Amino acid sequence: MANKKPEHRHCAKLLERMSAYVDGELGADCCGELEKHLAECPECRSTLEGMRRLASLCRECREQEIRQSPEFKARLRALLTEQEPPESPRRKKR
Amino acid sequence: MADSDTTPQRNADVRREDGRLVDRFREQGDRAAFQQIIEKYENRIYRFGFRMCGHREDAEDVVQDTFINAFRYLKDFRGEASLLSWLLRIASSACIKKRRLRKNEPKQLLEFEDSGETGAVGNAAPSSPGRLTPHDRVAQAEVQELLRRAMAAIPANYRAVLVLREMEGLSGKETAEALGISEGAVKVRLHRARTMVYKAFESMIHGKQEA
Repeated sequence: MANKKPEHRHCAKLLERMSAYVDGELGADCCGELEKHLAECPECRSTLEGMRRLASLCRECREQEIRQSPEFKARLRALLTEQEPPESPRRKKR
Repeated sequence: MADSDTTPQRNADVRREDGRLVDRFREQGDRAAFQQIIEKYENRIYRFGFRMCGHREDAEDVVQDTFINAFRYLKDFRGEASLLSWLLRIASSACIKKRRLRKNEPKQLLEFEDSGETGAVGNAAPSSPGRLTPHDRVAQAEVQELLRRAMAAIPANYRAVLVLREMEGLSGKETAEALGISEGAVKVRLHRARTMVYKAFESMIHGKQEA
C-alpha cells in the first residue's frame, strides 16, 4: 500500500470501498466502477494488493496455535470452584 | 479450526447446545454445565486476549475476568447474541480495561512479547512447520512479528474488529454482537483498521530495509 495521499479525485471515495471489494461484498455496479478506476490508477492497485496481502497474512495467523498453559487452566478451574454460586431469580421463586 | 465453522446449521446447533448449558447452570446451579462452557470457549477467549494484549499474562487475566464475570452474570444472558459473542464482549471490555491500567505503556505502540527465532509467541506455535524450510520459517516468523507490532500500533477498538473478523473468522454480525456496535460500524472500522495496520506494516518493512 502506498503511503502517499491519493492524487486522483476518486481515490479517497473508492478507497472506502476497497475493503468491501476485498471481502467480495461490493455490489456489481460499484465493482465495475472500482475496477475501471484500478485499471488506470497504480496507487490504488498498490493499495488493493496491500489489503489482499494483509488479509492473507491474517488468515495465516488463524492457523497459528495459541494455547493456555495447563497450569493456568488448573488455576482457572480452582478459582471458579471457590466462587459462590450466583443467586438465580428463577431459583429464588421456587 | 472446527470452532470457527460459521455455517447457519452449525450456528443453530451451537446456540441450542449453549442454551441447554446456560439453562442447566441458571436453573439448577449445575457447575458441571459451567465447566463445559469453559472447556468449549476458553481457547477462543485466550486467543482473543493474547492477540489483543500481546502478553500471555494479560491474556490469562482476560480469560479469568471473562469467566468470573460470566459465572456471576450468566443469569442476565438473554440469548439475543450467541454465547461466544457475549463472552467476547466481556473479554473485549477486559482487554480495553487492561490497556488503561498499563500506565507505563506507550499510547500508540504496545510491544508484544518477543517471539524469538521460531516465531512462537507465548504458547503460540507457528503453523504447519513440516511444510516449510528453516529459511521459510524464519521469514514467516519475521513477517508475523511485524504484523503483530503493526496491529499493536492501532487503537484497541479497531484492533478488536481486525482480530475478530480476520483472525478469529467471525462474521460481521457476530463481530458486531461481540463489540456492541452495528454491522455498518464493523465494516467502517475494519476498513480503517486494515488501512492503519498496513501503513504501519509497510513503514516497518521500509524501516527494516533501510537499516
